[in-house]
Amino acid sequence: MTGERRAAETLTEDQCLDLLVTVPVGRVAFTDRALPAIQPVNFVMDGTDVVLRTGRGSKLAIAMRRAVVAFEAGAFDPVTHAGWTVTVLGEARTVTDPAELARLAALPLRVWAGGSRDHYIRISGRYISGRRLWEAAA
Amino acid sequence: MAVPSHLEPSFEPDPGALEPLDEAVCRVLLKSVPIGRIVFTHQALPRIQPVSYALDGDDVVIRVPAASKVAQAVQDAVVAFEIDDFDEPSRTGWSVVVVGHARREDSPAAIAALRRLGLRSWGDGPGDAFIRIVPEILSGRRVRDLRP
Repeated sequence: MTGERRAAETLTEDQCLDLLVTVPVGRVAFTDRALPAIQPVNFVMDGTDVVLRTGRGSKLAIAMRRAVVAFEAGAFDPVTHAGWTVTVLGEARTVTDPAELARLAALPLRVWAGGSRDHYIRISGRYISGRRLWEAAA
Repeated sequence: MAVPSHLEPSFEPDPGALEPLDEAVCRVLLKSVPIGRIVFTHQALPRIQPVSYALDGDDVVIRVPAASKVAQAVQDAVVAFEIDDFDEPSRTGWSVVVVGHARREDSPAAIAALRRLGLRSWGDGPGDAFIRIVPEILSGRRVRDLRP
C-alpha cells in the first residue's frame, strides 16, 4: 500500500470545457488495422464537440468514419507532474453538410501541419471527463 | 473546399510537412520527457490516459494503481503508448508512438528492479502495478514551422 493518498480531483464538465480551450493540441485514439493508434491533432471546441481537420483519405480520416474514438488533451508540469487531463469519448463523423462546413471553417482552428486539410471531423462530446492531478508520488 | 465523401481516395499518407522520425531519434526522444499517454480498450471503448513512465532498456515501464482500469485492461493486450512535445508560438512539435504487448510484472525480483527506475505515480488508489510495454512498432513524426 505505497503511495496511497489523494492525488487527483475529478473535474466537472464545465471545468473540462474551460480547460480544453486553453491548449492547441490534443490526441485522438483510434484503431488502425486492428491495432491501437494515437495521433496528436490540432483541434477546436464547438460547444461540447471536438472539431479536427485532416487531409481527405488520411489514415485518421479513414479510421474515424463513424467510429467511437477517444480524444485527450492536457498539460503537465515536467518536474512535479502536476497538471490536468480531459478525455472526450464519442462518435466521430465526417462533416459533409455545406452549411455546417461553412460554420466550422469560421472557427479558430489552426492546423500546424501543412498540406490540404479540408476534411472536417466532429467528435460528439458524449462523455467528457477530466482530472486534475497533484504532484506525483515518487 | 468540401469534398464529397464518395470521392475520397483510399489510404494515402497524411499530406503536409509531417516529417517521419527514424527509430534512433525516437529512442532519444523517449528519454526526454517524463509523461506519456497509454491507449487501451476498456469495456469495448478506446481510452487514453496520461502516465508517468521510465525506460528499462528499450521497454516502456509504467506504474499505476493495482486496481486501476489501466492495470486491469492492459494485461497481455496490445497497447499504444505516445509521447509528444509542442511549442505553440513556433507551431512546431513532435510525437513518438510505441505499439506493443503490455504485461504486468508479477515477480518480486522484477518489481524490485523496476522500483529502482524511480517511477512516479499519481496513485489515486492503493497498491502498485508495474506494466511493461515491449515495443514492436516504433514511429515518430515532427511538425516543422510552416509559417511564411
